[in-house]
Amino acid sequence: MSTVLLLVITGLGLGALYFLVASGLSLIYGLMGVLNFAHGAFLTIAAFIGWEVGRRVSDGTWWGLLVSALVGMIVGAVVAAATEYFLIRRLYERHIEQALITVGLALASVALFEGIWGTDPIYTAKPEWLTQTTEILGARIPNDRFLLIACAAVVLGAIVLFLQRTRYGLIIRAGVENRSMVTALGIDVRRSFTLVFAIGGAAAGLGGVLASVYYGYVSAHLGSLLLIFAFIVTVIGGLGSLTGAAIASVLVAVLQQFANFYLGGTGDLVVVIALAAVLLIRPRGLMGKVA
Amino acid sequence: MRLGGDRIDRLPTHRIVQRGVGYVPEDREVFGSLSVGENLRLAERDDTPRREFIERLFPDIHARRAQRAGTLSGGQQQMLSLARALVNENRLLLVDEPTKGLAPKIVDEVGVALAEAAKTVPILLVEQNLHVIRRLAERVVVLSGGRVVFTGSAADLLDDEDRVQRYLGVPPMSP
Amino acid sequence: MTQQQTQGTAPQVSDAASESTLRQAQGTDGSSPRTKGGVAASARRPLVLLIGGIALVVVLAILPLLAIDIPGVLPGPTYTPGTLQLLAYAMLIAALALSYRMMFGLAGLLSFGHALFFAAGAYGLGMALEYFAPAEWPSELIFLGAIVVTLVFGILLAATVGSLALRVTGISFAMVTLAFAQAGSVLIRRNPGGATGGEEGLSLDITNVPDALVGVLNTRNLYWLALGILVFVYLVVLWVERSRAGHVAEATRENELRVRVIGIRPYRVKFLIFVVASTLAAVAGMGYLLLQSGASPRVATADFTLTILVIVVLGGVGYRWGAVVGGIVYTLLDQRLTALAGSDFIAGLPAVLRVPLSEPLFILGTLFILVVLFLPGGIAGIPQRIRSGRKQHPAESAEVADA
Repeated sequence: MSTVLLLVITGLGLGALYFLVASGLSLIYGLMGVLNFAHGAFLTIAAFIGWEVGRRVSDGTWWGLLVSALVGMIVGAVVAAATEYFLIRRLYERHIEQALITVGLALASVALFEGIWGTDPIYTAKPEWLTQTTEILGARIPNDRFLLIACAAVVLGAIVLFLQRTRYGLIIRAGVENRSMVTALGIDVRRSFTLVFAIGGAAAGLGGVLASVYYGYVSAHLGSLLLIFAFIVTVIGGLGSLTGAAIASVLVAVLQQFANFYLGGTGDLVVVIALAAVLLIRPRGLMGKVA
Repeated sequence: MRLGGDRIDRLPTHRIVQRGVGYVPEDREVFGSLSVGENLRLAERDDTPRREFIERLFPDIHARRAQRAGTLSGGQQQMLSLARALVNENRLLLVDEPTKGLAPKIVDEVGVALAEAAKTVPILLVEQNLHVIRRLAERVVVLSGGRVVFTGSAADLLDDEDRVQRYLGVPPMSP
Repeated sequence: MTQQQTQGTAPQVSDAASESTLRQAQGTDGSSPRTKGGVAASARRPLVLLIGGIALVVVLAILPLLAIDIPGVLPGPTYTPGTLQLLAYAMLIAALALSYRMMFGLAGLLSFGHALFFAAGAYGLGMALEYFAPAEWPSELIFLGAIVVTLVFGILLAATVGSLALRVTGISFAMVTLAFAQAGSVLIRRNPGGATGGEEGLSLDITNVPDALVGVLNTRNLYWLALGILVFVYLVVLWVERSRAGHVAEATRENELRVRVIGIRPYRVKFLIFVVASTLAAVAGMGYLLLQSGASPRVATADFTLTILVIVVLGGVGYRWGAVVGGIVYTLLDQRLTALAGSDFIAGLPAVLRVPLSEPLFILGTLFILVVLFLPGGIAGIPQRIRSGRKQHPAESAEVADA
């Protein structure tokens, strides 16, 4: 029983991480049709800069972590928005080329990060409480999972509120469904594009900082590691659906944890099989729109 | 191409619309995942949306404000699409085959709504339903193979059996 | 009907492939949009291309016997093992790129899992050579047998993945192929039963490999093997692309619905192209194993497939020889940039320039971004752009339909 609880909660924690990265991917694809391979790069740079600033302000404390997180979100948002504005926008409607540009950007940025920060992982300090565990019903659960879950829940809530209550949120929701009709109502969707990239970048940035807490280090490859899973989660949940991404994140991560424990470390394999299965049975994912 | 004397053919779509063009597309294209009210709100362009006008003209739609647009019937969606284009004070309304795929009773309702709308704004209507044309149109343009083959008043076209046969390829209809 | 389709899309078809339509058109019409110089000029072109191609192959074949030195590009004169190894690797990558271009550029199938088949060839042959060794058979037969076994494995794998992946299109198709490739990559890394060597890679069991292909002194032979593979792959690709199946695949890429309406079933053609392209990748993989005397798990990763995608786009999606050029340029660049990065020149630059420039992948990635933005036809598209001054991508409608 305690094992099951442990697996579920650690799965939720991992799922929280996946969601933070996948939320941006889902919205970006849903609204713009762009497969953003550079999303991992947003995550990584936010993690690096967030860590650099945080440790200089106050290393290993809650205050330092908060600063890291805020800086990470801002960096993520800015870098993402800049990417959209300078690169993606030039290739309006040419989805393959847009995806290719993000591939090139991912390639170049990982190399750049390795050049600046080196190829070895850099270990990060974190607040004392996060290194400890809490006992619930016999299961010893690492505390950082709670932080992850809490942050992901807050981000999910914030994005949903934004989508439901603001005008830009309304435009984005309509645009995900039918972009040309939004234009036919006299609305310039392109501004929403930058906004969506920024939101996705901010979430990814937070995810990056939290990933450095979860894994205990930052490295140039931090983003690529998570990106593949984020893609899988996005596709299973349905490209363009935020709630789909949330549900899929939880399902995939928990499945992964269980498979790792009960089926001898085959978590990765099981997730991949699940992806193939979903795509073949229900290609649009759990909650994706019908093409 | 000019609207109100200004050239618009080089402008991006949203700019053209911002100059006062309302568009009711073929197949309605309402945003199914949004509510009726949100559909209308999205369309509001300026500071003075004509909410009371819409309420008066489309009471059924107004009553269903909170309903998800995707759950409306075809006719209701058509009304919503039309209402959406009337929210702003436009200089021109482009309406594309509004009666397509609708039951005859609904076609009548749409026709009534269009007639009311026509009192406030000029409408460029693309239609194949001759009854609707007869009821609503003042002037008509007939296109065949991409070329204009007739312009004139609706009566001139529809009352002339010969023309109806030649341009529209259908036997003359009873008024 | 095929004529009309390809003539209608003439700007998007590679020069070599449109030759067939030109020749056909001359029989009926005599005046097609391309024959500005008259019938004689266009009739000469296929011959010119053929002679040029053969000459190129001959030149490449005798390179190991010459002492051409291109400092800065090649690590040494062309008879040295180091240079030959590099060139051989470049040709294998070019072959791989060709196979991918056929899948993506011709048939419009955006696969994120192409590396899987390359790895299947490499690891498959490696494992076959290690485990498939009936004692009674002579060594050469075992070697050939292992190759055949690997080939069959590659075909079966391609058929399995293809039959599943092709049930969906567009992004979903890409994701399914990604899933399979990931599974393969994970499987290789997990090293079941010690068969794949895990993170360290698989080393070649040379017991049954012919002596002529083993050892540094025999790098020449491996070079010729790689050249042979490249030529073989090129010929197969050419044959498929010129065949009826190839034209149907192209038409399907442009407008699948129209093809279906005519009564042709796109699935069969797509499946064929998928299997052929994947098998060719496996062939290149086998060459890679022999050349490098081992296989690294890196070649099974999604990154590697994306690298191939980068190569094909860099070279030019619309042209066969673009993939070849892209593969060779990429490999040489990768090698030389690594050397350049360690050079004194770079070390002397201020940090702001030095750090990015000492990372070859950074330069590559940036180059790639620039090409996509400003040179959509890739390297191979440059002559076309100069000729016609167009700004459009020659294979613009290689756009894959969204799922």
